[in-house]
Amino acid sequence: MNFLILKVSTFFLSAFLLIWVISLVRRRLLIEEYSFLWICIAAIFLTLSIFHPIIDQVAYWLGIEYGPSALFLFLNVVTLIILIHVSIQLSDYKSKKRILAQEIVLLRDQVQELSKQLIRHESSNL
Amino acid sequence: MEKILIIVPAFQEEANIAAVIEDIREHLPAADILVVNDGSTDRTAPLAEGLGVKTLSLPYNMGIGAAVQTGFRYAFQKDYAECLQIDGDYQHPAREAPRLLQALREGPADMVIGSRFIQPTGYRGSWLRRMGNRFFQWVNILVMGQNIIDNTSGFRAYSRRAVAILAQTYLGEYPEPESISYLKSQGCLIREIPVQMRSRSRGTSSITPLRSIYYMVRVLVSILSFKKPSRR
Repeated sequence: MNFLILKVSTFFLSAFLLIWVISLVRRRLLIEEYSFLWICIAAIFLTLSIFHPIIDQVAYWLGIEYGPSALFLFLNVVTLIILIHVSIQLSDYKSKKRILAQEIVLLRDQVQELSKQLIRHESSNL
Repeated sequence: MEKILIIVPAFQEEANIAAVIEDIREHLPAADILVVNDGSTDRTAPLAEGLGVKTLSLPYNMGIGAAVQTGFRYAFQKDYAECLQIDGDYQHPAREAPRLLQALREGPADMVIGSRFIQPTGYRGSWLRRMGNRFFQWVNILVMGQNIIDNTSGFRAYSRRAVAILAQTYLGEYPEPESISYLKSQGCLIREIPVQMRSRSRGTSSITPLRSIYYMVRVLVSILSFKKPSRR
C-alpha cells in the first residue's frame, strides 16, 4: 500500500514538473534552449516513476546495492553539470554586459561631441 | 608634442576629485584629462565636469578594471600616443608624473610603474597591502620571470602599444597585478621607478583582511591563466 502511494506521488510530481516547464515555455518565460533540458529531465523522472525497476537495474549495473542511492548520485551529477553550465552562461553575460556599458558611454560621448559641433555650426551659419 | 591622456578612475571621490584635477593641471598643463566616473552616487561627476574636464560616467559601478579599460578604449579611439593613470583618491602626486612619462620615452618601455617600495620613499601603506604586494611580487617572478616590486600600484604610464592591448583585453576587476603579467605575456617591456606617494587623507580605503585574501586568490587564478611570454 505504502509502495503504491510512493509510486502515485512520484508520478504526479514528475507530471507536475513537466507541465510546469511546458507552461513556462508557452508563456515565453523560459527560452527553448533551457526548456529542452528541463523537458528531458522531467521526462526521465516520469519514466522512472512509472517503471521504477529501471532504477534498481541501473544501480545493479553500476555496482550500487541500494537503488535510491543511484538515483541520488544521478541527480547530483546532473545538478552539478547544470550549475557549471549556468556559471559559464553568467560569465558570458557579465562580460558582454561590460562591453555594452562601455560602448554606451563612448557612444554617448560621441553624440555629445557631435551635437556640440552641430550647434556651433548652426550658430555660425545664422 | 605627442598627445597625452591622463585617465582618472573615480568612484565616490567628491572629496578628492577637484584636488586631483588641479594637481594634474599644475604639473601636466599640456595633457588632456579624462575622468572615468565609475557609477558614483555622489558629486564626483558634476564636480569634474564643472572644472571643464572630459568626464565619462559609467551607467553602474563596474569596478576599477572596467573603469580604467574604458579610459584605454577612449584613448585608443582618439589615438593618444601615451596614457597615464592617476587614481581619483589623491594618492598619486602629479608632480611625479613627468618622470614616469620620461621613463616611458627613454625606455624602451610599454609600461612604467610608479613604485612605492623600490627606495624608502616614506610610504608604508597598511600591512595588508604590503603583504599582498610581496605575494604578487613572488607570483610574477615565478610566472613571468620579472621582479616587479610594487605590483598593486595604479600610478602608471602606458605606451600606445600597451594601450592598444589593454583596450582590447579586459583583465578582471583588479587589473594592477594582472596587467603586468598580461603585458609581459604579449612581449611588452615593463619598467618600474620609485615615486613618492601620499597617504589617503580623505574618504575610505576599500581594503579589508577577508577581501584581500579573496582578491589575491582571484588575481592568482587570473595570472596563472595567461601564457608564458615568448622569449625575446
